[in-house]
Formats: sequence, C-alpha cells, structure tokens
Amino acid sequence: MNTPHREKRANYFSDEIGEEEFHHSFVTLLAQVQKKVVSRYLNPENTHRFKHGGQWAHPAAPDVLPGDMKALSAQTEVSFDKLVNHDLTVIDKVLRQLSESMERQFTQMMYSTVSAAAESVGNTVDAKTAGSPHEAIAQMLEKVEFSSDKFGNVTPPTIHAGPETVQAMLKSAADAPPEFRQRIEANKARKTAEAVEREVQRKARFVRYGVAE
Amino acid sequence: MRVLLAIGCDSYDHAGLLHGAERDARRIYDSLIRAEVGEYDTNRSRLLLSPTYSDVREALREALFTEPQPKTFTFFFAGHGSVSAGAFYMWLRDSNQKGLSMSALSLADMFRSINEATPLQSNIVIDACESGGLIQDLGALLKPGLLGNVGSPGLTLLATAAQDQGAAESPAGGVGTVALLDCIDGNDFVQDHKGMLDLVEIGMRVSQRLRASGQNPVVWGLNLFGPSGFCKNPRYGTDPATPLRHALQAWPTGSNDVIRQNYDALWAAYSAIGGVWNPKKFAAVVRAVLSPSTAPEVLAILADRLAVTFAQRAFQARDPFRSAEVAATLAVALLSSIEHPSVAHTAQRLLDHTCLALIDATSALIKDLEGDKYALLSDRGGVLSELHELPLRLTRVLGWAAAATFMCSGDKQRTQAEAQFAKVVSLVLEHYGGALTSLSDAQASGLCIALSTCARLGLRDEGEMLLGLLFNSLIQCEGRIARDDVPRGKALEYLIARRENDFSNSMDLVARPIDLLTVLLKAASLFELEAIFDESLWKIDGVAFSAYLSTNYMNYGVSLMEGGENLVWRIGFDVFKTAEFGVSWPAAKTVPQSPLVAALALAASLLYPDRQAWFLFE
Repeated sequence: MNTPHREKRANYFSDEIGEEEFHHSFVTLLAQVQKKVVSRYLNPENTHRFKHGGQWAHPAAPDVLPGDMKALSAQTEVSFDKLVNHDLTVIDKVLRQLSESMERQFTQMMYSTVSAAAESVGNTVDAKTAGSPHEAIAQMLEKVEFSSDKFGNVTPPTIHAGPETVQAMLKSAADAPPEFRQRIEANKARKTAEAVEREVQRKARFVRYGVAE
Repeated sequence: MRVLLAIGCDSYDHAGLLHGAERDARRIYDSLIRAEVGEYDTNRSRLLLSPTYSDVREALREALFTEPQPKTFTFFFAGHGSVSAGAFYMWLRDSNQKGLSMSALSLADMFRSINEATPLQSNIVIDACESGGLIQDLGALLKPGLLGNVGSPGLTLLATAAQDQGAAESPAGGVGTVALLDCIDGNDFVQDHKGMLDLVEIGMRVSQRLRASGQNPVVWGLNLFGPSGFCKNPRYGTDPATPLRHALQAWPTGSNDVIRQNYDALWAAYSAIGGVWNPKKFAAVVRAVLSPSTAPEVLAILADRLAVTFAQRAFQARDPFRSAEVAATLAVALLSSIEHPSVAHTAQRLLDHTCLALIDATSALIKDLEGDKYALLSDRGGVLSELHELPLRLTRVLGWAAAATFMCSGDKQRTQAEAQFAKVVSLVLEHYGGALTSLSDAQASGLCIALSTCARLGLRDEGEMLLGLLFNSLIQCEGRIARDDVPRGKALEYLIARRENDFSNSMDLVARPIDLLTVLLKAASLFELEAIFDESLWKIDGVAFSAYLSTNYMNYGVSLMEGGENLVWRIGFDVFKTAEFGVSWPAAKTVPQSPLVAALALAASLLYPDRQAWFLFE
C-alpha cells in the first residue's frame, strides 16, 4: 500500500459535518448579537425581512421614497497560533470585532439613509444658521412629525447624537430663557394633537374601525 | 450466463487513425473468454473491431436482452473518447463531432440499457482518450434510484486516462489495457487470498501503476451482488486449469438479500467515503450488513467485498487516515462472530490492512508536519470550530498512531509503527502543546492507547508531558469537560461556558461521570506521577469518574454493550489520593481472548470512544 498522490492538502480527521454544524451555531450566535444591536436603533416591529433581493417600493404610497438593499460585511482574522494554543479568548475577540464592525456599518447606513431622505424634502436644520443649539432643537421639533399608534399613544421623536453634541444641547437648553421651554411644550402639545388627529383620519379611511356589528 | 462485449476502434471516418485499439480489444477478449480465466460464453460474447454505431447498438441489444439474459456482463472499449455537453461518448467508426449523440455510444445510454437488463454484475472497462471525463457522467449516477432500487445491478467501472489526456500507448498496447492484462494474467499482483478477482481491486492496482506514468484512472462502482467474478485469480493457490464456475459456485446466495436490504444505505455510504464522511452512519450501515445473525461464512465474504469496494473509495479521500478507519470499522463489525475461523481469518486480514493504512497515513502526517507545522489544522471554512476540533483531532491522531504498534503482526511493520509513533508524539508536543487540553470525554480512548504506548515504548518524557498537559487542563476546568456526544451545534456554547467558567446554563453539555480522569489516574501510576497529581485533587473535589468493564471484549463492536459493570468513583468521597483509586480498581475479570480480539477491541475504542481499552493498563 502506498499513500496516493493528493492534489489537495490533506485534511486529517476533519469532521466536515461537525464543522458545518459548529459554524452554523456561530452564525446563529452572531445573528443574535446583531439583532440586539439593531433593536437599539430600530423598533423590532418596524423591521422588515424580505425574501428576495432588489429594490422595495410602496406603489400605493407614491410619496414614499423607494429603497434598495445594501450589503453589510465584516471580516476578521484569527492567527493559526491562537488556534494551536487553544486560546479561547479568540471567540470573544471575533464576536466583538464582527459585531462592532456590523454595528458601525449599520449605523452609518441608517443615518445616511435618514439624512438623504430628509435632505431630499428640505427637512433639515442647520445649527449654525439657527444661532444656538437650543434654537436648533426648537426648529427640529417644528419640522418633525410625531406619530401615534393605533391606540392613540403618541411617541415623541428621539434624538441621536454624539456625547459632545448632546452635552452642548442640554447645556444650551438649560441656559435658554423660560420662553424657550414654553415654546417647546406648546409645540409638543400641538404636535401630539396633530398626531392623534392624523391617526383618527387614518382610521376613518377604513370602512369600519373597531366598531362591533 | 456471462457475456463479454469487447470493442476496439482504430479506424474512423471523422477522426484520426489509432493503431492499438483493435489489438487491445482482441487481447482482452482472447484472455477473458478462456474458461480458466473469465469463462465468458463463447456463443454470446462478441469482439467488434472498428464497428459502426449501429453495429454496436445491435451487439448490445443481443448481449443484454437475448434470452437467457446474462448474470454477468463485461464491456470493454478501446478507442477515441470525448466529453460533450457533460456526457461521455465512445467513438465508433462513423462517429461525428456534429451529432455525437446520434453517432457515438454514450455511457449514459449504456447505463440505461444495463439498468433495464439488470444483470447481477456489470463490469465496464474503458481505455480511451479523455475517459477521465466519465466522472461527469458518473457524478449523477451516485444515486441508487438511477440504477433502480431492489434488484439493482452491481456496477463497476474502470476508466484509464484522464480528461484532456490521451490514453498513452506502448509497443505492447495501451498502457491501461496492458496493466489490466497483467493483473488478469497474474504478471502483476492484486491479491492471493481469494479465488476470484474483482474489477474494483484490479482497478486499484491499475490505478497505482498508471499514476506512476502520469495517468489518473477512474475506479468506480458498488458491485456487491453475487461472487466477485470478473476473472479468476491466477495468484490464488488452486489448479490454474480449474474453471471459474467452480469458484463461483462457492458464493453463498444468502448474502444477496442482506445487500438488497441495505442497498440504498450502502450507496450513500459509498458516496460519502471519498467526500463528506460520517463515520457514525458508515458504522451503522456496516453493522446492519455484517450483522452477527448472518451466517459466519457469508459474513466473512461480505466483509471482504465491502472492504474491496470501500477501500478504493477511502483511498481517494483527503484524510489519509480514512482507509484505516474504513478497514477498522469493517474488522470491528466482525468482533462478535470472531470465534468462527473464516471470520477470524477475514478480520485478521482487515486488521493487517488497517495497520498498513495507518503506517501510510502516519508517514504522510510526519512528512506534512515537518513541512508545515500547521498541517493538522483543517482548511475548511469555520476557523473557530478548530478550537473544538483540534484537541479532539490530536488525541485521535495519537491514538491511531499508537494503535498501529499493537495491530501490526509483523516485526518489521511493528518497528516502523513504533518509530512513527515516537516521531508523531514528539512533533505534536512540539507544535501543538497548547491544544493538548482536556476538552471532551471523547479524548479518553485515544489517550488511553497513546499513554500506555508511551509507557510501553519507554517514551517517558513524552508520556509525562502529555499526561501533565491533559491533567493540568482538567484541573483548570475543574473536571467539567464536554460529553463525548455533544452535538457540534452545541460545541460553541460549551466553549463559551468554559471560557467564562460559567456552566450554569450549559450543565447538560458537561460529562458526568468522566472516563478521561480514570484514564489519567490509571496512567499516573505508569509514570509515577501519583504524588504530583495528589497535590491537585482537591481542586476537582466532587468530580465523578467512571469505567465500564465489559463481560467480554467480543462485545466491543456493538453500539450499546449490556451486562458489564459501570464503575464509578468520586473525588472527595471515595478517592482522596491516586493510590486509593489504584487499590480499588478490581482485579481483571476478563481479558481479551486473543491478540486479535485485543487489537479489535482497541480499534473499537477509537471508532466508538465511549469505551476504553482498559486491558492496556493491566
């Protein structure tokens, strides 16, 4: 008996099925981590899962801009030495690197998408032109619409900003004259009422909504 | 009825002239038609020289469908061959590149005819340009459904020359045909333990020989029905003038039922051996076919046939140890019937094959490790899975390399196996010390053999180091190693729990009791490390460890052993020092009945790591 000539490198006692199952469990774990990350930015109820690739559009709502898929990818490296030294910290490192990279890309994509949508309809505020951070907040609140769920619960908008910007906004708001707070509260009340009214009008478009026979 | 159709095509209307194809076909025909060689029916068998397409179709129709239909059909073709649109064609006198499907003999069509005629065995030999392109045709055929299920024909195919290679010719004829004739005539050695030769085993020999001249032949098939009667074996010690039918009559017909019942599973196993290998599934199929309820004579013959067929596939696997695992699985399946002389004889031969395969595989491993210290890392996709697989792989490598030193029956081979084991231990310790860690109870069997072999061969430093690394890592994880049967889909969960030293949500993955600690404590006395181990035993206070002592080592091949004793100890309850464990170990009630049983039990422990070869410590 002789060892046959092998065109490919030998794979000693490689459990191909087992390795596949292991890899699948790793991808599942990574997906769980990624889901947690995404849920910090998006309500899971607003997350859609499409079965196929391509653009998505709302043909019955022509005002809504069409969107398209963007692929996110991340890669990491593990040295052979880490494996032959059975360094289990590699698992944490790989998970952290991949999830951080995916989060970074996801947030970039989300903010650039929101930014592009806002700019396309002129729904933007320039803090410098506004004169102060608190004035910018007030203008922002003017331009944004509140939304109500079908039970009439209104959710105020969320501000996403870096720590320094947030500090500057808070300080500016704290230092602002009392009229600023009154203006904000008045705006919130008006926006809330408008949101509730919009929801009422939306429901009115149904033939019947929540009324028993 | 045995029918031979031999075709040699030198002359072509639309292709270049060949000079040796007709001569090759004539030589094969003349050789196989003889009663003392192939004993094919002289009235029904045909030799066609540079025939047309319609000549061949007519000859095939007569050969396969005229009553009585053949039980064995052998087809030989020498001539131009080509691959077109994913199909392989054998060129005939009037074949034309334009319209090959209408003017050349397609292999797929021939398979369909064979499937319809259902001879018990079909042998196809092709010595042609680009005959390696057959693989494209055959890939789709690796499904039993395409050949029919119950009553499917056994089919073996040998094709010489690879795609884009011309079948080389020597003055004596095509090198493939010459190699084949040398096996038929006994000029080349195939085997000498059976009265008949199978085309698979001839094909393996031809493959070995032709690879040296740059050809890459194809040997393919699952031909398990009836006797392996391609031709008589001239190297077997019987009267060379005895007709083949005498040997064929010795074939036990009961075996066909066993094969038929497991045909689909055998096909699946056959497909998997060269690629995605599932040793558990293979073992299950082998156990089903080689059931102890089968008559011992049939068992021995079946094991032989399976070995020939599967060894050829295993030879093509990327894992050099695959051949050893396959042969050992077959040998171990015979363990419970080993008292029958014919079964013992076959098991010993399979064990010899295992030993040779282990020596080859270990030799390849040493060479690979000397060239690349990472040669033991898998190159498949999932890198992180190596954190789980590598420690297990290392103990398997050490276990199998050590096992060869027990299995080899000849002094020369044993000496070689011992030198190889010493080298492998040294290389593994040098390059993989960090991964020699106690991770799973599945490592117990490999370590049991490796550590006892280190002690037996006087590899004291290596044994101590190996034992020390495994024991220390067991202490570090507080004895919480994984179960031997942890699903790979849960292995990452175990590794994370181990990394965080928090098993609260993964307790079901932890083995309790463990065999690995038993092995390590037994080995401690071999290397006089008891006092050192005793210093650390408090760190695994409460850990339970075990040993299953079978009533009979002939049971070691069955999936679930019954009637033995599950011995259990617990650190801090009945064992506080290594010596207390040693004293409590019961005197051996059973030992392997013979060196053959011992070697098979040892192989069984490597194949099914839920049992250990405790007798190695006696």
